[in-house]
Amino acid sequence: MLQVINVSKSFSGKEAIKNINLEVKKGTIMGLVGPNGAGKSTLLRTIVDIYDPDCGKIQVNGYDIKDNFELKQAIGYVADRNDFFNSYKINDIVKYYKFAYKNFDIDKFYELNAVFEIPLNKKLSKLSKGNASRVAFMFSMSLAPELLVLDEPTSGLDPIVKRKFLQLLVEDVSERGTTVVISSHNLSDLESICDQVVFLNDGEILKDNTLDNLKTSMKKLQIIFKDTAPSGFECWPEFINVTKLGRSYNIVTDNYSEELLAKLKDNGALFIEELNLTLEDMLILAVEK
Amino acid sequence: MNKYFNKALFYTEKKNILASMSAYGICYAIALLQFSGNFFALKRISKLSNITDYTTPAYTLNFMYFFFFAFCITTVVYSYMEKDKKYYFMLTQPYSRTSIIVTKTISFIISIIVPAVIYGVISFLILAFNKNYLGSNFGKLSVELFLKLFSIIAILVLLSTLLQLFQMVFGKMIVGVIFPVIYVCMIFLNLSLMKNFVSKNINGLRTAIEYINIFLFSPGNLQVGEKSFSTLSFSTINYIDKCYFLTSIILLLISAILVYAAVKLNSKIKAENTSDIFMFRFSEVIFKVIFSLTFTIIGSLIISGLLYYLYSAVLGMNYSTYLMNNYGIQGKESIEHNLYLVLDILWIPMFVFIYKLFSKIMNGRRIQ
Repeated sequence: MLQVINVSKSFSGKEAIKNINLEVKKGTIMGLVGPNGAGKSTLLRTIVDIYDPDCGKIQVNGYDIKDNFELKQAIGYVADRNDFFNSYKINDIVKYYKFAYKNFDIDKFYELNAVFEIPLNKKLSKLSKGNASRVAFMFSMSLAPELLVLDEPTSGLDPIVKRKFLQLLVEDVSERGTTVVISSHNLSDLESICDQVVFLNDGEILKDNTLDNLKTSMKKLQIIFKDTAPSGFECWPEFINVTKLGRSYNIVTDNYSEELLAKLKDNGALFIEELNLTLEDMLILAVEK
Repeated sequence: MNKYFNKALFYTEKKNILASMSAYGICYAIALLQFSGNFFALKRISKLSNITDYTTPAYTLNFMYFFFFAFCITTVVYSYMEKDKKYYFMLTQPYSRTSIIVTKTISFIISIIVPAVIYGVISFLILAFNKNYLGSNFGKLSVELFLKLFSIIAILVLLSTLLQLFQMVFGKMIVGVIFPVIYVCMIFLNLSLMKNFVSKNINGLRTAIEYINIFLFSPGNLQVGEKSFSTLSFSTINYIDKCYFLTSIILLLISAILVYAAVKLNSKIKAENTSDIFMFRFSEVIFKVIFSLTFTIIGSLIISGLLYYLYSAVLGMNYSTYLMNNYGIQGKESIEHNLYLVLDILWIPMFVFIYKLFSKIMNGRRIQ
């Protein structure tokens, strides 16, 4: 569905994203996570054709996105700043979308508004940041998009609306097979909805995997050895973080497997406890590695 | 059609169109009141033959008045929206970059044409209802009215497209408005200063600057050189009054070229540069060239002036008087123009030096 092929983008000589390659399959929710300045918004803006990449290309359904206005009919984008229509009333924005998008579904829009309850006669500039984000989301969803790109959509939303928002998103994906690319600092939200997760740091992809695979391969292990740990244990290539508390070792691995367990047992591990990591833990460990 | 015109974009221009139309409407309303007031007053007190030449609907439409007003209004309308916000949104939308410019141009043209047509129709009705009174002049006045309206439309379209092109070059909105005006002022200033200090020894350059000055300072006029009594003298003809229709067609053709240039430039705009002063490298070069030229001309003239007064003080008399007393009028002029020639030659290395210095300062600031 979405392919990012060798994409780099720099601003004033500084590379914001470097040689990014990734693929998002149809009906997948892909979470883009990373610290501030990692290049998430740059990547999303490049995907929706705001930024022209220095090299590489973005393909949606096999077609290049660059100035492809037919393709953009099928793409919904919620930016981190939604202020283009500040001087418009919501009803006027509805008219704009009717003109701009062939597949704009006004009934769907009113259906969504029944959930989000935005006053349609109010100007966008009079709404709070959270409500402006809701409006942008409602419009994007009403396009029946094949690809939905969301840049920090939950920032400014209260927990009740956030839950409704995530529920609507997941329902849309399961009903219509929408492909979603979403970036957020709220990792617990992403953890509950994402199929695929991409860790981005300093413009580079650190990890690109399904959430299930990540959860299976990245584990925290608590290990107690019969005697002492084998020499060089702390430097095993499978580990990304090792801390020692008395005889007990807390290790984090991104290469968890039966082979690793067997190797630990062969080296005298008496007790091994596996603990699941949260997405937040995974990101912090991956960035600090 | 979708590639060139977009209904949704046109919808976003609705407010701008109405604002422009209202502004132009005020101009036409004033012109109409002036015309009808004069027409009916003179109709009461004078014979027709006395009034036809100066109380026609076309006469009350003053060109320069519209130039100024159109420029201000278009600028205000353009400033209404922040460029970076606009681009970041529009580039994600299902319309082409070309349609952004073409739709904007069409909306400009509509806002110019509609009030003009209304003015034309009302003025024509006034003439038509007084057909018996106007007699054989009716046809002449009607043709003149519509020709002049056509030329005003052509001029306003040219101004709008020119401004659109300027807006493409500069990112920050206020800068995008101020810089073109500063550029034009500096070009005028340089030319008017240079005119007096280009040596007669390089007569070709002096004559060229003379031509350009007349063209720029008296819009609508053209200077024609005539050789008589072995000297070249200049006379001015007004080409707009002479041929409304042809001039208007030429202006519209130039507008079409400007729109094409705007479309081409727009395809090269990078969204991330929309918040910078210079959106393109060449706009920075143009800025540096014009600034360096202005510094060269003004700086050299200030220094020359200071040297002149210093030398006069040393001589104990005005240097011009000294030359006149010693060499006569011809000799004085010849020496002065030789000195101007030195100054003119010095402009070249001075310009290069200031340009390089200016580039260095700008680069230094950029690195910080």
